[in-house]
Amino acid sequence: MELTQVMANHIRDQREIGEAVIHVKSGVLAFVLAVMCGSVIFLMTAWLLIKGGPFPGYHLRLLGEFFIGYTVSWTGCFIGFFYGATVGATAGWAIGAIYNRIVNFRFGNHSKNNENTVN
Amino acid sequence: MISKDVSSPTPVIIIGAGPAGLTAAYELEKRGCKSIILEAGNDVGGISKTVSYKSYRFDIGGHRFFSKSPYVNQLWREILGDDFLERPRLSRIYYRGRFFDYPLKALNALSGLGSFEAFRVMLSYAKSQALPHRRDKNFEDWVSNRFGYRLYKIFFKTYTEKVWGIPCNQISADWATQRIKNLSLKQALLNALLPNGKTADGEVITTLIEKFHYPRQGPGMMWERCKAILEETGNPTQHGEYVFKVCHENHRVTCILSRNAAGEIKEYNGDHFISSMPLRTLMKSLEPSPPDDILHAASDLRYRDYLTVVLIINRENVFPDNWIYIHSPEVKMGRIQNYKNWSADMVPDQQRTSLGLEYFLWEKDEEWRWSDERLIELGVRECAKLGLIRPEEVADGTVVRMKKAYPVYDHFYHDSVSKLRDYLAHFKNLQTIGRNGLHRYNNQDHSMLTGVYAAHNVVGNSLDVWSVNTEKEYHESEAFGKPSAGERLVPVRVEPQSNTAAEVLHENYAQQLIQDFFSKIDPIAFGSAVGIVTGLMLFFVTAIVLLKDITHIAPKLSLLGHYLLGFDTSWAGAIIGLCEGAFGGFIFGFSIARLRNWATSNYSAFVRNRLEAKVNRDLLDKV
Repeated sequence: MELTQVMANHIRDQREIGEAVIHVKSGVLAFVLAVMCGSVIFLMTAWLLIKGGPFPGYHLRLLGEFFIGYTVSWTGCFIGFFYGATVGATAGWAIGAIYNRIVNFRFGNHSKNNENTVN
Repeated sequence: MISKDVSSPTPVIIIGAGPAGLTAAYELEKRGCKSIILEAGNDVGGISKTVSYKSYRFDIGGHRFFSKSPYVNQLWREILGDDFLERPRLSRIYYRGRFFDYPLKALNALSGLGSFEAFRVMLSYAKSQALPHRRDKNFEDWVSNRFGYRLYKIFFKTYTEKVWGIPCNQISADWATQRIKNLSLKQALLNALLPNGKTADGEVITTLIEKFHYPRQGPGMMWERCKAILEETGNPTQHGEYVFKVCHENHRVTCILSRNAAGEIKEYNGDHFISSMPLRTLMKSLEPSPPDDILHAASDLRYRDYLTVVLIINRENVFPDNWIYIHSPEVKMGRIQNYKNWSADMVPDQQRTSLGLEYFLWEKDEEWRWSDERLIELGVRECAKLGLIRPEEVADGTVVRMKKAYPVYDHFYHDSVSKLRDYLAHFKNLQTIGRNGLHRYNNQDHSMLTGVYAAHNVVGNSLDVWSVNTEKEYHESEAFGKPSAGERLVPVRVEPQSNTAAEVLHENYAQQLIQDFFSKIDPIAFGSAVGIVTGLMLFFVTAIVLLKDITHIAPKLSLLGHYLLGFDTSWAGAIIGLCEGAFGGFIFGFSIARLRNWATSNYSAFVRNRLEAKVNRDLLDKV
């Protein structure tokens, strides 16, 4: 035998499941990042409000310069969630779309043709 | 004087009434073809026959009935109906005065060996994992690489050498590797991730270790029933017919000649011939003779012979196992069967037990020629030596010899078989099947499948009989399940339980999920995508601050300069942020993708190792 069985198995496994380079479904990646980013801003804001103090969210409130209407308040939690989700969705969609284009460019037909989901 | 058989215009002539030959006839009958089966002996079933001595029934070795082929399982049930029992399995290894669980269990094996030997075993196992043999050239390498040399020496070497009569380092690793070639990692992952999913390789194997099916009166019952069914439908089995000549012309077999005990010679004509006789014998029977190199190749094939000493013991229970592997080098026997534990119907008197002491020999060995009495004496002496019985408990005994029980996988067999296979391919109407017909160490179900394939070929299909029990079988059996696979017209596999559409959909979905989960993320592409998005976000944030002239944020944003070399809140800083953000994002995305691929790859390797370890647990059963 030219190859050890271990190598042969590895090759077989690669052939069976590991050979394909996956495409990501941009929509799903956008959704996941949207939920993550939205939740992070929501929780950060909520945490500062619960913690209290004289000037809650001294630095976090600066986000209001980018996210119109955002403040460190309970209403701001939801507004922050909305903006965070929007940014996350945009980033996720962009990452997915760019990734898929690069994969197509690099691997052509060797990659999996149908879009599949990761994460 | 030669008499001609003219019982039917064109029956298929089948040589050998073993599982392969009888299954071929059974399949042919289903498809409206008649056949004549020629059997040299007086029994049917070949090595799967059951011999009766004073109503004590015993096997030629133990024959568990299990198969991954639903078609074979269905055939068994079809032939035997309710007489097909499900039996629990218990077998142990006897080594130097102690019994070890089989399949091997780490704790039991190590505690039984004693602390010093256990330490050596563990050390040797660690060495085999850290520094394995580069190539699995032979059986010794193959097992040592997986279990460590010490464990191999204790639990595999002696028994394997008893069975095969040749040193393990001269035995090809082929049949061992054959066992793990067809394991599906995807299916194993499916089992690991969805434990409540459908049964797959790993689970089937585990189950088969613990229980098996068995005909109520031994495997011979299956083949006696099959023979009876065939005879009722006009497919006779003719006993005592020893085929000594296979005549051919223009790449077609024209007739075969057989001789019976009385010396009468019969000629059988037909359009199709199926042979399960040993390849070596077939080649020597061909008329005109094959070229010298083919005859040499045939002569190179070796067979291991088998002898069983049956002892009838005046004791209700001798030991609880179905069989015991005897690894101790101080006795010649390789295995002991307790037929009563296979099925109570194997013994007419439940106050007694019948044991089968198995000896693996060459025909040229001195013991092969010993008288039955002397062999029985040897058996009694060895059993007493192992502490299993007292000599005075033995009520009776008998001996059965089985020539050419095992085709030997030595270093030369592969080339020889290839040569013979190529030569036989020239014959348009001759197929070889079965364990000896293919010189392959097939189980009963594999032999049956070769018969099924041969029968389907007779009725116009084109299945590769040689693919059974090989890596290629997977593809062939896939085709077997589909009415039309490529250019072939292939038979439809009968499934014992048809899946509902929802189950099929669920399985497809699960398979797809596994495929998706374990496919690679391209690190370059993912790194680039994350890099581009990160760089652009940093650029836009800086640009917004600059355009809106948000002076109180600018100094804070500039703090990023601690991480991004040369960054500040300026247009130049925005460009620097774009580049360095892209670079940092690339590194981050690349690392995430690599980490994820590494994790999934390691997990799949872990699952494969676990699956292989599970399969190798019953390695001795296949020796």
